[in-house]
Amino acid sequence: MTFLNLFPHEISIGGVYIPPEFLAALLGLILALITSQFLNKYQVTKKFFYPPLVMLSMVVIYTLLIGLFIPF
Amino acid sequence: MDKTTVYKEAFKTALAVAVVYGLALQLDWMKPYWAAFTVALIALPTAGQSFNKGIMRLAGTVPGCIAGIAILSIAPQDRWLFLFLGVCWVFLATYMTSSTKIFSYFWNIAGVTCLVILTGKVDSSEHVFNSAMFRTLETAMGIVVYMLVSVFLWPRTNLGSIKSTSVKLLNIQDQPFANLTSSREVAEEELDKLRNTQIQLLTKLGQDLFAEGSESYEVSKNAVNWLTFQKQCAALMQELDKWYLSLSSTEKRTVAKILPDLKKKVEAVREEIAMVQAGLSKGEEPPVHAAVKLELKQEELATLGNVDRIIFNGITNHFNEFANVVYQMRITIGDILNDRIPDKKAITKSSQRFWINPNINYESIRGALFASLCLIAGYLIWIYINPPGHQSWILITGALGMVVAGFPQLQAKLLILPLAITCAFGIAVYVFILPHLDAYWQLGLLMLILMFINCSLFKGGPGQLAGTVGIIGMIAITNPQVYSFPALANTYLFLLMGFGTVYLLSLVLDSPRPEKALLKKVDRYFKSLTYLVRNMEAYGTGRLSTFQRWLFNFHQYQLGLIPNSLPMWARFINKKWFSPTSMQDAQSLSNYLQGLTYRMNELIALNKLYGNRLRSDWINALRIWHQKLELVFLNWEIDKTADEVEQIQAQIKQAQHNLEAHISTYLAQEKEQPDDFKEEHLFDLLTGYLGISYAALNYAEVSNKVDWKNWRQEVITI
Repeated sequence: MTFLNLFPHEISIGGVYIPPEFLAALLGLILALITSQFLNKYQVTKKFFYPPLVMLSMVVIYTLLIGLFIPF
Repeated sequence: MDKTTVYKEAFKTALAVAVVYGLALQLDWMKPYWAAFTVALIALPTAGQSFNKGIMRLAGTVPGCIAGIAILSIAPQDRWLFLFLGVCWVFLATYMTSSTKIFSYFWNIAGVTCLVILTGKVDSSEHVFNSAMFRTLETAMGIVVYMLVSVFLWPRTNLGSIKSTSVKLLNIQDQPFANLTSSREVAEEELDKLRNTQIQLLTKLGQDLFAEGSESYEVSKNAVNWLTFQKQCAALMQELDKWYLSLSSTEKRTVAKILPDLKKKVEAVREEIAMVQAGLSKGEEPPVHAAVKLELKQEELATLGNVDRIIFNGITNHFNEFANVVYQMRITIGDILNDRIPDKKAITKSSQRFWINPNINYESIRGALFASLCLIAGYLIWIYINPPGHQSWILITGALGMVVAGFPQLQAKLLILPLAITCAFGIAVYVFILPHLDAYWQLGLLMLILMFINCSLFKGGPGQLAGTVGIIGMIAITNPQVYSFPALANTYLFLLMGFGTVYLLSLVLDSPRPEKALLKKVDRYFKSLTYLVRNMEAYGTGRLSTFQRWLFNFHQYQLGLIPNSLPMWARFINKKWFSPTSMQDAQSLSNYLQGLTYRMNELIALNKLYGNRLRSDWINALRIWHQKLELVFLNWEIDKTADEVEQIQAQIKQAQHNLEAHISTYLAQEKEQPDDFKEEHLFDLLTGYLGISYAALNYAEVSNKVDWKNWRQEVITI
């Protein structure tokens, strides 16, 4: 892996450049959905005051973590 | 609609889209897909409905264009003033969309058109003006082309729909009387179903009035009479509810003893309803004679307790009010059949001065705030991130925010998934099929086939809307035809990101779960009810300040709005988590809350008339009753589980017993009353109090069946 690949860059799919934030947000949304299923199943959501904001926060947190630590 | 009709309507829409697209390209107009979108969005099952929607669209385009041009003129270089003015317009348009029934689509288009103008080519004032002009012109062309196609090809009209809907509605309203005369026991579920059907038919009647009015001169000429008839049908439903509610608190044997003529009078009213129906369906003018009047058998009434006398007084009053509405209906039908148009001066408009009766719709305010928030978010995303889509972020977030605000039950998955699929399909067509076509007849034929498949497959609803965006938006036909796959792919990403952003923003303001929305509405209902009970005495005696009166009117208005909005939310409840019985109970909650609303409004009116003429001992006695009611409603605001029904029954029985003692004392001592205050006025007032108590009892019974614990359970969902 070259040095340049460590910087965020557009991902080319068939000549179409996808912004890295889009992929990070998509993966963040998928991970948040999976996490929310586990939280619902083990009834942890009962302890939250406002679950929709928890969902939004998870999306943001996962997006940031993926963007920071996974080099696209 | 049967399958043949679906295919015919789909073909008409597809043909109109292809024709108008070709015309716009031939005339070299800017953005020909605007005309195609107009056709796709105004296409409705009948010509009258489509014409009405088309006129609203055209009328809404004009103020939208003016607002867009004005904003660009005032703030061409100041981004924050530009945003502020745009937000103000979108707020106003969204509020008016959800708070007015007739001009809802007009305001929706006014808001969206403004955003279209703001995000168009704004490099010169000439281009801005041209955008506004072409937008209006292409909208008009779309309406004209679709109307011509729908009139000449398999026309479907609304002619006769008003009369047929009215006859069906009167049939439904006659059923409770039919049950009474046949002494048939009616289950509560059947009553709920009857009421829900009445509401649906009343809504349809309103829609038919405008649709048929757009097609038929006879209807539009008699518009005032038809609107009066519509109000009378709504009044009939209310009086029927009140009468049934008061009848349910008595025993059948007592009713037969006190009201021996009841069945005869009910038959007479049924005959009058049949005359109204004959007037509608056969054109036979109903004869005008005095309204049916029910009278109590006084000697038998004297044998009852005072509270029972009050109840029967109420039953008689409500029956007579119902009969009076039927009598007024006979006169209105006579006016319609003989084209007797009432004098405009004689029509008294309800005096709703804004500063006294603001009638602010809380749900509309929230929706308008949400649409504004979406617009601000889209603007900031464009300014600071500038992702694919660029300035169109303002359009997509603002327009979608307005759609979601107007129809909050629409869940994200209903929009995003169909859009992703149809747009991907559109891209595939664009890449693999379009480059092989050159002349418009080939491109137009492709557009026709795709729109036909879209309309016949989805038959309206979010799927058809998503398909329209996918086909017309993605398969862009321009003159000359230029192919740019990266631009299209960027548009696809932009649409998905835009929809996703609006969905995530919807999580900020409130939970997307219909169950939560329903619970919050019930919560707000009891908050308003508690406020009204607490301040009713002061309102009746004029001791409230201007602001408190305004607040009182606001809460009274909310009480009227909330019950009717519950069934719509109940339809979208997640069936996976709730049993069908629970869902039915949730829907029937609306009927009982509506009953509470009627009783409360009645009590407020009676209190205002007679409340300040009561002696102080009466006022004290009724104040105790106020406090009991307030406590019950406060409990229901905080905790949705109703008190044990027996407890509430015991409270009501105690209040009745106190009242009995009070009335007996009053009648025995015959103390002096003000000259204009009569015993029957007191009985009217007490009818109001008893009425609301029994309505509360009925609500408690149905509320106990709902599993509120299950409803309150928190779950993360999309």
